[in-house]
Amino acid sequence: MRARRHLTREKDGADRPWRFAAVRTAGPVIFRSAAGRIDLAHAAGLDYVHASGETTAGLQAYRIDLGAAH
Amino acid sequence: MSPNDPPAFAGRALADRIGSARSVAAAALLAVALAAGCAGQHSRTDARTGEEDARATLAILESTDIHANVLSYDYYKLTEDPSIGFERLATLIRAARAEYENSLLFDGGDTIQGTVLADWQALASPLPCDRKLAVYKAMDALGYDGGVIGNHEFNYGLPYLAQVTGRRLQAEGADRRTCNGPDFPLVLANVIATRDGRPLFAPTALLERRIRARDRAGRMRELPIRIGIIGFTPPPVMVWDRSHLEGQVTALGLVEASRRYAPALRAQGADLIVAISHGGINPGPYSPQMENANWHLAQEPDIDVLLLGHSHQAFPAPGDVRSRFNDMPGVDNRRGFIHGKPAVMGNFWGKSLGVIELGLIRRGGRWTIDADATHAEVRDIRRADGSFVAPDPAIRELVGGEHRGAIDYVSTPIGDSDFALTTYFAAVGDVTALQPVNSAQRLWVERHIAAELPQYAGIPVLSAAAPFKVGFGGATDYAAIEAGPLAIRNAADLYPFPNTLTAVRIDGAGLKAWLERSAGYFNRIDPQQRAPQELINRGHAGYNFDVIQGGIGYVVDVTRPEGERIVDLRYRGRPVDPDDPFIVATNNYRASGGGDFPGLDGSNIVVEARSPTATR
Repeated sequence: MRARRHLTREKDGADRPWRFAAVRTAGPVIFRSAAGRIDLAHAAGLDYVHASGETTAGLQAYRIDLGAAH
Repeated sequence: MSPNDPPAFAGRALADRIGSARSVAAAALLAVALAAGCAGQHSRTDARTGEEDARATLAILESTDIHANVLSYDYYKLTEDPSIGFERLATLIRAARAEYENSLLFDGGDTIQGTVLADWQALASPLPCDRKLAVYKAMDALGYDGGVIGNHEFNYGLPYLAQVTGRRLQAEGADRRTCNGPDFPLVLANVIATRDGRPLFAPTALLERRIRARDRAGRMRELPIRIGIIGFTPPPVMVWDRSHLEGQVTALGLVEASRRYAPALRAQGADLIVAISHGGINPGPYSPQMENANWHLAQEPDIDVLLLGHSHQAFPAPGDVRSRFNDMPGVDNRRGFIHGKPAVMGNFWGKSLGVIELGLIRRGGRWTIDADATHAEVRDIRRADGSFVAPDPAIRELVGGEHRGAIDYVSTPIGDSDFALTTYFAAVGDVTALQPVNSAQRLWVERHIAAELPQYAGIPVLSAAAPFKVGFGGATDYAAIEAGPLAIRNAADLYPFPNTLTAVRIDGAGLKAWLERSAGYFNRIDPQQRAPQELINRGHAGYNFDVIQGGIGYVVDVTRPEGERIVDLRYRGRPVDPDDPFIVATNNYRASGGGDFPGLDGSNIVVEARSPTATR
């Protein structure tokens, strides 16, 4: 960071080397992360991630649409 | 009090805690121990069969994996965090001492490393020899009876460990002087100095105390008790901290070390032997290299009580339906027993206090455990209503200077960013918190190879980084850096461990195997299942989910079994051949075998930066 001084998303935060294989699932696939952060997921280009609404102790369930993963 | 305590012996709620004699006897010479062996064995027989003359309750209190969280403070975010911190744990300790008239307090290790405060004292503003480490200052204020050396104690090297523990260690650069260390004994039986073939630290200690007990006539009396403590750390520390330990020490398995040192402790007259074992509970097959071998250690006849740690869990956890200990053979997850031995693991970061309420019976002058009057529990600083116990103000006062110094250090500006760097969604593809780490690692290795290692010129350099903070410690346990100015604390948030930069040479097959191991972070998903499925495998640590960057691309198919999930692996658009050479920048932990990644065992390291070239 000291060498670069100025980090930009284009140069320093958008080189995604991997993706999930696209596969449609009959039911929801979920994971948990801090609540209320879905905007950060979408800003990072993860538009296949959705908030599911269930929140416990500050952690929220998010749903990932593997069929739309890219 | 246990509901099984007979009323006549339920002596509690008195003000005094343990008696005045607090001498610590070091382990005796083997000849002395063997000579005393017969007497010790005879006394234990008496203790089991002789006439009962007194009963007592002794509380054994355990902190573990404090990881230098002295205060309830998040140095990455510069905010108070009431969910952690020794200053709140101290309140629980004082409450327990008021509750039990007899108590002992021990620490289960991983004490001196884990926060910016620790790094500041070790690396940025090195602690003078005559000063005591902040976390030990705080612990000494509470009056510990003993502790163990955890694996993370070795992270800053043996000379530093010798300094802050106040011990001369038989290792290079660690035996020159005696500095200021904690006031309590530190024991470790299974790490042996290469130089003299003896344990690096005292393997055991014998604590001679007096406890208040009730005799057969119902009178309260003060009686002597001798408690032996023996310490263990995970043998894989030799892998995790190879750069600090190789050639200096070796590690014994827990069972082997117990059989070597516990009998002598018993022969010295220990009524009880407490294993302070920095490790978890794994019922799998035993090996001397086993990381969490305490399920096996509990079966050793000379071990009476176990104080555990390392795996950052609460044991027992009777109210947790998802606890992995619920159905573990030989384990009582309700009352806290492993193979009939009382045991506790007090969580981590000062979140909880482990408490074993030991019922004791005295026969023939020797104490034994009354299992029916014994149970263990884990008490949290977080109350049932979501609030937290108040901090002990004495602790903050003690370490105020160090606290301010660490804050000043981590506030040093280093740049700025036009995007937020977070690990909230690293598991599903977000690289904002990983790419800066990978870029820095890769750049350093490329420059080093160009300058020092021309034989590797032309081999593609990749870099692996993991999202260390992925919510294991709760909703605040994520790297979370807002867009805007960046400071050292933000770099520390991305990379909280004092690892050193290391690079390995592998081939295309090894690259795929590395990624396959990382992909174990995901559960296998059944596309036909209609019920919700959890994506993340809770048994796979976030720090073992490496994302590799530097020109490669790959697809993870979570519907396939582990080991077969990486498809379409490419380098600069071309399919990777199993024989293609690569150099991968990573850290000393991974390169030395940490995380059991295939092919990574320290043998293929080509670049190894020495401290202080920490990754951060």
